[in-house]
Amino acid sequence: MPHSIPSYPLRRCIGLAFLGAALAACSSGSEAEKTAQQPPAAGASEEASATEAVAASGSGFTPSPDFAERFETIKDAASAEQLYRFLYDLPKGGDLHNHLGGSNRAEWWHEVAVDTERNGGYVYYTKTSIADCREAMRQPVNPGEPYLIYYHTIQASHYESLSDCRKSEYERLAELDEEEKRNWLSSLRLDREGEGRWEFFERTGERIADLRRNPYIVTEMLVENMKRFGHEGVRYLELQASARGFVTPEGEPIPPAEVVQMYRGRMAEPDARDTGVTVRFLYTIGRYRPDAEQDLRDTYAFVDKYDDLWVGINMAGREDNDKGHPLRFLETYREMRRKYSGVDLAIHAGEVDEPSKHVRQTLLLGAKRIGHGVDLITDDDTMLLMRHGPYMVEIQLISNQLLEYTPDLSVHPFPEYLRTGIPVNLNTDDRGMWDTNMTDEYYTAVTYFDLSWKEVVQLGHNSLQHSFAPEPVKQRMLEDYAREVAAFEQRYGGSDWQSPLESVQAETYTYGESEFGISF
Amino acid sequence: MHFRKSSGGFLATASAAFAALWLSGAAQAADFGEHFETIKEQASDEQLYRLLYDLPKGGDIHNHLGGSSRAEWWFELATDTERNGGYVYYTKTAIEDCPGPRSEPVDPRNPYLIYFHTIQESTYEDLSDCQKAEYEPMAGLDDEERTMWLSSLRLDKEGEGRYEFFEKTWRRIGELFRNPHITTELLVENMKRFGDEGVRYLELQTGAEGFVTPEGEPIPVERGVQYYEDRLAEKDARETGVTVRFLYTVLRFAPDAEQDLRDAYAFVDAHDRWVGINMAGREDNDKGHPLRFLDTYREMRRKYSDVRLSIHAGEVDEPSKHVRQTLLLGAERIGHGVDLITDPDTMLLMQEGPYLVEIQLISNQLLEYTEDLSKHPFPEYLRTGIPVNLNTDDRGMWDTNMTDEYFTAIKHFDLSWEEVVEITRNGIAYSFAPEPEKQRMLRELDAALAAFEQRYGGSDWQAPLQRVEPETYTYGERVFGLSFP
Repeated sequence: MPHSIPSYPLRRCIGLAFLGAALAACSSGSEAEKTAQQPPAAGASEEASATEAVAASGSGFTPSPDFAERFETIKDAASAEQLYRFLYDLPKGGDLHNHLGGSNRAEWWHEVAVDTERNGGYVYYTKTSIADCREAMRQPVNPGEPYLIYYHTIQASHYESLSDCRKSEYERLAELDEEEKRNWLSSLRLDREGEGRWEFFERTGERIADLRRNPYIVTEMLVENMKRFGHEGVRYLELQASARGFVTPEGEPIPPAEVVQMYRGRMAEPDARDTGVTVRFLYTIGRYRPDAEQDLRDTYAFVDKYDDLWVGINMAGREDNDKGHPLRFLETYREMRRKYSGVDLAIHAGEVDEPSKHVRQTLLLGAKRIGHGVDLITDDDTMLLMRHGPYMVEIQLISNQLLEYTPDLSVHPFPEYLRTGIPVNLNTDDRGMWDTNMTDEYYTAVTYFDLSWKEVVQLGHNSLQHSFAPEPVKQRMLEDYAREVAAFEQRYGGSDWQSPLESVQAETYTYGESEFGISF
Repeated sequence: MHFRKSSGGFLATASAAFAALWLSGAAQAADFGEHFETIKEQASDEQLYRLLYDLPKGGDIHNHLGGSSRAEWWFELATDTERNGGYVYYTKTAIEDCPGPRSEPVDPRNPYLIYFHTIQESTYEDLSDCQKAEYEPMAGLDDEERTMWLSSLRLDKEGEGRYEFFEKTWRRIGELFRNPHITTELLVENMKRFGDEGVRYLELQTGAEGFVTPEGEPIPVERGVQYYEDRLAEKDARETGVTVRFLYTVLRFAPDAEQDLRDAYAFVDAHDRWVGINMAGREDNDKGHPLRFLDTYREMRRKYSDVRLSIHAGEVDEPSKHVRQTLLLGAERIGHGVDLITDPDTMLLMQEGPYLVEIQLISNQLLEYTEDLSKHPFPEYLRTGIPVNLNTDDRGMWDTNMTDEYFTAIKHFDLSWEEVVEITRNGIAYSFAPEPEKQRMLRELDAALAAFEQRYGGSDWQAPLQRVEPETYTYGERVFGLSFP
């Protein structure tokens, strides 16, 4: 796929912005309407001029040179809090690497889990003590479902099936006292010394447990994310979301087709549409499972069937579990490509501590985007292959820090990729567990690597350009983005860049408070 | 080695000493080769096991001393203050949801939520009252708790595998590792048991650091070394006829592993009992990947001579270059090499020596590297001329012995007598024992093999089996269905 840069609409919108008519002239209605209105040929007709623009500029995007100087001034002169407000207000394009199950703040989980009106009437219990139940100590061991874990949260039907001894270990989630509630919240975040990769991969997900199987909670959380991300200028979410494994309050499986309908229904509600955030899904496979090849086949069929919502496939699961190594799947991907067209691939690769060929092998699997690519830096040939596209590396700085892939962010390879022309963008990954937002990622990138304005805009542009959204949707979002950037430049381009910051209602969570010392 | 049908190429490169040693027994061995086929065909599993228990087995050169002791032996010593230097132990049998540990920093390697974590009295006394209530004196466990304690040190429950082994089992043994009396008693127990089944040489991975007194005071390293030497000099140890040398093993993914490696070189250089260095630690923790250490090994080689290297490599699920990279680190032996099979260049490089792959079949099975042993690369290595031998690794956690490894190899891969002899000799020939000691052990092994051929070479091979007194542990009982009174 060549770059298709909307140079014409971009300039048009910037022009309009300076005329002060931008918002009215370029703003969009609901995304569904917009998609329907878009003539199918529009994206294609713009491609030719776009290709030229890429060749000329290397990025196809020309942020205002004047504002670039202004941005340097702001970085120099702004306090941490001012810079944060500024970046909170920044138009941010899309989040392309975001696991829906990991994107929710602990507080949101708690709120929906105890609110039976919002959560479909499910009642939850959580494990607050261990009673040394002998039957549990003797049963077969499943490292994926440990007996010795606090704050394992289950629904009533599951609770009722437990022995009396095990029942005694759980309390109603709604009845936790203040301290227990605080512990429960903390148990879903990497916020204690020593918590990192192990805690994240082996414990946190297991604690959320049955909450993830409630389609009401999952769709409520989806819309909560649309609101919060929308508030900080994110316009597109390409979420790794599933429609399998959901259950009724009685524990009966809910057919995936019904779950798909629930996603659709919830996103059609006014509060979701009002966010102005466009959403598409990727279907993600647990790569090291014994039956992952069959999952992949099933997922191709699923994505092919629901291609209006699911635009591609991803593979995840801790990459240092070598049982899911990339080339294991080459035959299956090739088999699927003989059968299906139009299924895009973004795959985790290079999220490891060791020099490897995982990124290269994953390109061979057919990936257009690489999730993380931390160790790409060790593979000279693939670095050179990836310069100037067409593949992109999805960067997740805070994730890499907290999961111990780059504990020292100052040596993260991100600036090397960015500044040698490997397309990159910034994403939040599992921000619920980090307790962060997208602004934290930009703030981290700008403060560690002194990004220029051109680079900042490049990141936002890439995050839409390399999305798997249908072409007309993508073009519309790129136009909107250009218009918003122009308005942003105008807002902060005057002699007083500080006053507009006062009206920005930024928020930080526990990470921002502890790492940046910023709270609002 | 010269028994191998296509051994011409190898003989040319093998040391003349090895070749000469075997010329005298060759003719007889060829006869026994056919006889061995007959025995494999006709013997019951029990008879085959007896035969293999009686087989002279050379050396075990991939054996972590800390993992080589049966749970029952640990228990016996932990509760016997006369043999264990007067240490008293407590083990965690309950979890009281103590508030402290739940708010303290998290250490995945030192989890609060673990049963049968065993500590000595001085540590117990430092615990909060809440945590004290979680521990019981080892000597006071009831039968059910004792059964559970023993099981907690073995991979004997459905679902127990790599995770249980690397993240739980070692942690449970806890402070028993820090008692030099227990460590050296178990060393001698291993010499006796391995000696009983025909193992002549143990090259054990162990250190002399980290020992403490009953009061929890550190014991100086040189004193730790002396504990080993004193115990090895006792009569019962000497009577086993088993020769013992040590390797010093560095935990590869530790943040300060480079410094550990430097320290290990200095230590091994100063202590003859230690003949080389190994590196271990789960290899799927990529933070300890081989090339991380290349500079440090090169730095050490500028400083020290004659420190031998045997390094874990290729004990992974993924095609990798770890074996190749580990040869570059200077290793003469590769521990496991399960994924060497995926690296054609290195396979070809290793054919006909001089490097050896230490094979641990049961370990690879239980730790999920090759759950289906019928697909283990061992026969491919063996039969394409890559030197291999059989070892027990952490037999305490599998609850096995060396005979189980040979029984497994023969049942799965129908080894010929030539192959059995090659494997058992390689355990000595590729050891890091000083050369005169190695030659002496090879002479003795060859004599024992000749006697074995004599013993079972007659028409009635069954009668001598009755005098063999083998033993199996829980693995052999469970997997082979064999137990001996």
